[in-house]
Order: sequence, then structure tokens, then C-alpha cells
Amino acid sequence: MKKLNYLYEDGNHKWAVIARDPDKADYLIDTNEYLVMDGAEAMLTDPGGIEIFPAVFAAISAEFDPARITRLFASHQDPDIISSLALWLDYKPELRCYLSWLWGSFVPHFGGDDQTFISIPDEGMDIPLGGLTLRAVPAHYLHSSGNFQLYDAKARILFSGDVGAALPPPEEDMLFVRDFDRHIRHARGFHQRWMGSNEAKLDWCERAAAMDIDMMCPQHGSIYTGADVGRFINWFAELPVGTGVSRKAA
Amino acid sequence: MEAGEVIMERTRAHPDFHAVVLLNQEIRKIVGIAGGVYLSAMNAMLIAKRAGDSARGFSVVSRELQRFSNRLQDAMHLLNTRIFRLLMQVAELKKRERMHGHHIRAARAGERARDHLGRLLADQEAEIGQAGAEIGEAVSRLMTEIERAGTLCEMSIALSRAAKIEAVYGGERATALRQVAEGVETTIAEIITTLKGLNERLTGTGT
Repeated sequence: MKKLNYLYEDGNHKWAVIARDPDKADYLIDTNEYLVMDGAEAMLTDPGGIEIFPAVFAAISAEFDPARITRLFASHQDPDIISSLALWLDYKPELRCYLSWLWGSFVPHFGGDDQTFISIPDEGMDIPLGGLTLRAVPAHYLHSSGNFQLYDAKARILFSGDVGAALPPPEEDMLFVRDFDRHIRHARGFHQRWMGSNEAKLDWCERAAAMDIDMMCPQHGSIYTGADVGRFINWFAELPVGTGVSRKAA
Repeated sequence: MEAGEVIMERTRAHPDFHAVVLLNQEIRKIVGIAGGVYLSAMNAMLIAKRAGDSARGFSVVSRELQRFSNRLQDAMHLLNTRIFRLLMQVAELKKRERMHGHHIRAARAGERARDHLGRLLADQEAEIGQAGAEIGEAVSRLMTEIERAGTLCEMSIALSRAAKIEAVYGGERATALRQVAEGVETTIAEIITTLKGLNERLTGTGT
């Protein structure tokens, strides 16, 4: 079963990750869902696919009242990100979902209506949550053409979506990166194939390097902490992307 | 019809997501309170040890309290496991119902579609019925565990009262011992009240 683990706690301001499902079918990619809480409100990032909804919902409920989730944040439009939307809306119809304007008429194929979505403009936007102001940070073409990450300046946590994702074998699939050099081998192929633009990548690296980040939390794989965040940004800046197919073909 | 059957029937007919989530919240609250009994029992043992011969009677009772708190922890673990499983089952059923709803809408779109989807719809309905029945059984098992935890707590009230009596003979530690005994009694009473409320709501006899 998936399990909720707290990553950050400062009074009522908390971050938790719902991760690692040993019971999940092998044909589904494993995902990390993050719950950002402040006061009476909470936001769930990339709530996941329809297949894993029962596991995510039960794991959250075991530790936290899901009725307090008022917003969803969808980094982009993929099925492993937001295809569970209709089920979340069945539970709480008044939920609002932050999403790139680009996918405003695509994601409603998974559920929701014109009241559900709050469009994020290309340049990003502030997102209020309880007493916090979170920031939707642009990460377009990494990998989706309308792609956002979520930054919490107070907790110094960046939810990075697919950036930083890795597909390690089960025996190396830790919640936190412990050995960067060992871990990053499992991120290389993913970034080379899924990330399509070197220009967008460098633009993001510059933006991320200027941010104060203690924890970088991807949607797949392990969480980067401390100096590993900077190591990742440097590694990514050097990595040629959009090359996955030619590399394989060669 | 038994109370358990009433809730089973109701749940099978219309599994209420929100009711199960609320139930989960209440059980989490009770599990949290029960953790306090364990700490109080440990505290009672320590104070009794410090009081020495003057609290021999209290020491015996506090050992019993610790045994009770261990059993209570086990009961709470079981309640947690049952409610987690029930949540999973209800969420899974909601997923199936939503899929079924899509297929029903497709079948209503035309006769040919209905012909193609007829068997699938029947299979889905059978699966949903089966899942509903399993949820009803899970609710029934949960109710049994709630009743068991309630009985366990009722039995322990006598124990906490005995601790209060023995505390009187605790010499200079008498006040501390009495406070611990009263703390245990209050906590157990709170658990009993919450469990009763839970049971009444599950059986539909509460407000």
C-alpha cells in the first residue's frame, strides 16, 4: 500500500509525500503525490491516475482529513498526473484544479467542468493556500509544452514534476537520494528521452539555480535534498536532452 | 434485522464515501486517545516503583493497567487496519462505478452500442454488486471490532477505580498516584463515549 510520509513540518505548515506502492501493478509507473498543508487548507500535487486513486485516497485518509484538500495542482496533462480527477471531484465537487491554460480544454476529458480549473498563464502565478503564497513556476517543454512546478519559498521545497524523475530498480528505489552519482544513472535515460528542448532546460536551470531550495521533489523516483539539489541542476544543465531516440538508434 | 445488517444493507445500496471518511477520522481520534492510556500506564508503573513498599497495591494494579493498555493498543491497531481496508474498498468501488457509468452512457447512445456493451455492463454490475457485498461485510467486521474495543474499555473502568483506591495508600506519592489513576479513568471514559457515538451512528440509532 502507498504510505503518507511527512517531509516538512512547521506548526500547521506541512509537506507530505504519498509514495511507494509495493502492491501496484508492474505495468504502471510509480508516482509520488505531494500534499501541501497550511492551516485548514491543503493542496494535492499531481493526484495521479485513475488506477491508483484507491491507494492514494486511503493513504491520505490514514493520516489526514481529505475533506481539507481544497485544491489540486496538475503539473501537466498526462494520465499519470491527473486522470483520477473525476474521482476526486466525485468525492468533493467544489475542488479547484490549477493547470496550464494550454490544457484547459484537454484535461476536462478526464473530468471537471468550466468551474473546476484555474488556468495558469505561461509566466506562472502565485497560489494562495491557507496563510501561504505558493508559486507556480514555469517549466515548459520539461517535458510537456505547458508545464508547471510548485515552489514553497517558506519551506524551500520545489515540487519539480517530471524534472528530476528517475526509474531505479526496486532495490535502489529509496524515498530520498542517498548517493547522487549512483542515483543519477537512473535519471539519465528518462531526461534524455522525455525532455525535448535544451533551450528550455537551460532556461529552467538558470531559474532553479536562483531559487532557495532545500528539497526538490519529483513526481517519480527519489527526493533530492541539500547539496544534491545543486548537483542535479548542474548535471541537468550539462546533459544533452531530446536525444533519447537517436542514442537508442545508434 | 440486526443493526449490523441495517448498515450492511445501506452500505451495499449506496456506499457513502463521506461517511466512511468521517468514520476513519473518528477512529483515528480514538487511536490517538488510546495512545494516552499506554503512556499513563507506563507513568503509573514508574511512580509506583518510586513509591516502593507504600504503593505495593497500586503497583499490582498498574501492572494490570499496562496489560490492558497493550490489549487496547492491539484493538486499536485492528480498528486502524479494518478502516483502512474499508476506505480502499469504497474508493475502488467508486472507481468501478464511474467506469460503469461511462459504459452505460455509451450503451444509451444507440442500439448497436447497447448490443456490444450488454455483456460488459452485466459483468460490471455483478462486480459492483460483489464489491458492495464485500463492503457490507467489512462494515460488519468493523462494527464487531468497535464493540470489542468498547467491552474492553468497560471492563477496564473497574481497574482504573481500583487504581484510585490503591493510590490512597501511596504515602507521600499518593497525590501523584491519584492523578495518574484519574487520568487513566478520564481517558478510558472518553474512549467509551466516542466508541458509543460511533456505534450509534453506524447502526443508525444516533443523531
